[in-house]
Amino acid sequence: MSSNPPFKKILIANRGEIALRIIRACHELGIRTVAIHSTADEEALHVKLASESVCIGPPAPKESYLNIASIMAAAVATQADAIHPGYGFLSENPAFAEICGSCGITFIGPSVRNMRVMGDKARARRAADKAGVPTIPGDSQGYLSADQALPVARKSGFPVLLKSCAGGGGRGMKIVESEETFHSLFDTAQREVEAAFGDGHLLIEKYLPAVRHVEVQIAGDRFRNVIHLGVRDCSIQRRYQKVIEEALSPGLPDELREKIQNSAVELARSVGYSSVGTVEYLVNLKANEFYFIEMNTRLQVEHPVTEMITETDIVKEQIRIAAGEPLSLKQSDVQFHGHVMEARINAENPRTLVPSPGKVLSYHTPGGNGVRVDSAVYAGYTIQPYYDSMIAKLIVKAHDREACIEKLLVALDEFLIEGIHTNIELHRRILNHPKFRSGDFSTKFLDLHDVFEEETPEEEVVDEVA
Amino acid sequence: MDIKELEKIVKILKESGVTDFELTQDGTTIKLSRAQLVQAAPQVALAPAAVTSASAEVLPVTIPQPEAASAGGDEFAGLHKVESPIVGTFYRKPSPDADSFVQEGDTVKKGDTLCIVEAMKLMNEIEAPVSGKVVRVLPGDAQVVEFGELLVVIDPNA
Repeated sequence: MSSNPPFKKILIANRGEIALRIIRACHELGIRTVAIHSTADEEALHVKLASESVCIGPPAPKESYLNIASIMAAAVATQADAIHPGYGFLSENPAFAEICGSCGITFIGPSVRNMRVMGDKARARRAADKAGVPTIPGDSQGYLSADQALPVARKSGFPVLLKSCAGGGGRGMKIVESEETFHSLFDTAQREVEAAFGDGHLLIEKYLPAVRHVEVQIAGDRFRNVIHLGVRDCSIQRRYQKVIEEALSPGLPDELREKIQNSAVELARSVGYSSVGTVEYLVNLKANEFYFIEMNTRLQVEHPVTEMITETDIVKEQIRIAAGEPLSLKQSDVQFHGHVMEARINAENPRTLVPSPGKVLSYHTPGGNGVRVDSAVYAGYTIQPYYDSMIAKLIVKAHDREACIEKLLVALDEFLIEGIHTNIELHRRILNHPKFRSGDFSTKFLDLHDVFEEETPEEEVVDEVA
Repeated sequence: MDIKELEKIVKILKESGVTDFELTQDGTTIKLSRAQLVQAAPQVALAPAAVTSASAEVLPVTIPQPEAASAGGDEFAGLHKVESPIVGTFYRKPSPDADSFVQEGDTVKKGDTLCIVEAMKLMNEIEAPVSGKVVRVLPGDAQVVEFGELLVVIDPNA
């Protein structure tokens, strides 16, 4: 490690727990920090702990955390030499990265080109194809005619998924099991999609039934060194929002895991990627197949899972890479210790998902051996309604998955948050569910199992453990 | 105890400065206490992992109660406050050699330029939203100002 700090001063273009995470890494490296905040975040912890802070706008994200002009003005005024965008907000905005560059301020992330390629689903797919990374059979073209679409469906192999090109939200999505029903289902789907979005174009993709969401953490430097830091399994999701993440992926055979990891490194290397990033895949364990879905060219929410299992600091590494330093690790240095799980604690009603902002009256976080809490909440803090509802990440590490689940349950029991609703009860239900425990789950876990209605045989589970 | 006695007691308490008083007589208990301005002190101090130890701040874990005493109420109540609409650098003058746009005591018309806030090399002229007398100009010349920071206070009735 160099004795000179990689930068003198970094402005963190974010808020909440991730702003705090970045501030901590900066201070550990001897770098001064500038926190930016909206008027709603005047009492936020990241504001209190940074070396300096600048109010950059009113509460609405568009006028504050997404306000490029305001953020750049703050960076120039405070003479920051780099900006860390965190995740969300401007972290995957190539225009922002470009503006930083033209102001002579280092954007802590990959090149503008990397961001543009990976930010476009079609271009990312092509990059993956070029790098020899398997992609979901299908193509990124929209079809209006069943006759034209049929060859694509045949090529992908049935069953196929018909998706709207235009809108989202699952409207018009249809699973076609075989060629016999293709034409009629295509026509129906097209009518629905035309009515909903005014655009009847449909995408054809192979339908993947029970898949796991498995992602690979990678890191690359300016010297073309690229390594992976292993996988994370993020299959437990609700409406495409991750709820629980873990490492390593339960039931994923080592050989398949290595193939997936290597393909991620290959992809990153082929595009000259220099920063940290995550390559996401869908994995069909039964068929031993994996498919690239997308690459996130930023720090990820669940990065602590990888940090704990590999005993590394991804944020510090990211900062060093941005300063032009080589990676501090070789691939052979990367090892996995035990099992790690993360529970995202949200300020919401666990059953209805309705957000629950408001004043936190009491707040006590769990601690102890192998327990980490990343949070910017404190007793007396008022959770604002303008921003996302995640208020803390609880990450635990134990010597194996079973011990990890028990540790997480104990930590959740100790986590005291009064004054607002949280989804802690949802986590308990998931962790106690027999299918989760046995590793028999896919990305559809929370759709298939209403964990609040189904019996979670807690007594039986306790007997097993005893 | 009858009401007249109670009135006497309350009067004595008021004049004496006693804040809490309890009396039990004939099976009846009376408790009187006078409300005070309480300044809640931070309960737990957190030292930040700050790089420069020169000004290590002590951070409260709980939000302190609004310190009514220190602000002395709103100094500019009833006056028109001009706040910065952007983040930038505050300039009192159009150029280093020129005179300030306005001084304290000057009378301004609505629309007159009060100051400049410069952001990213763009000079944003801040105009007087009302006519009146300039009571105060707060930031120093070439000082960095935040969004919402108070720049100029105008008395519209002067």
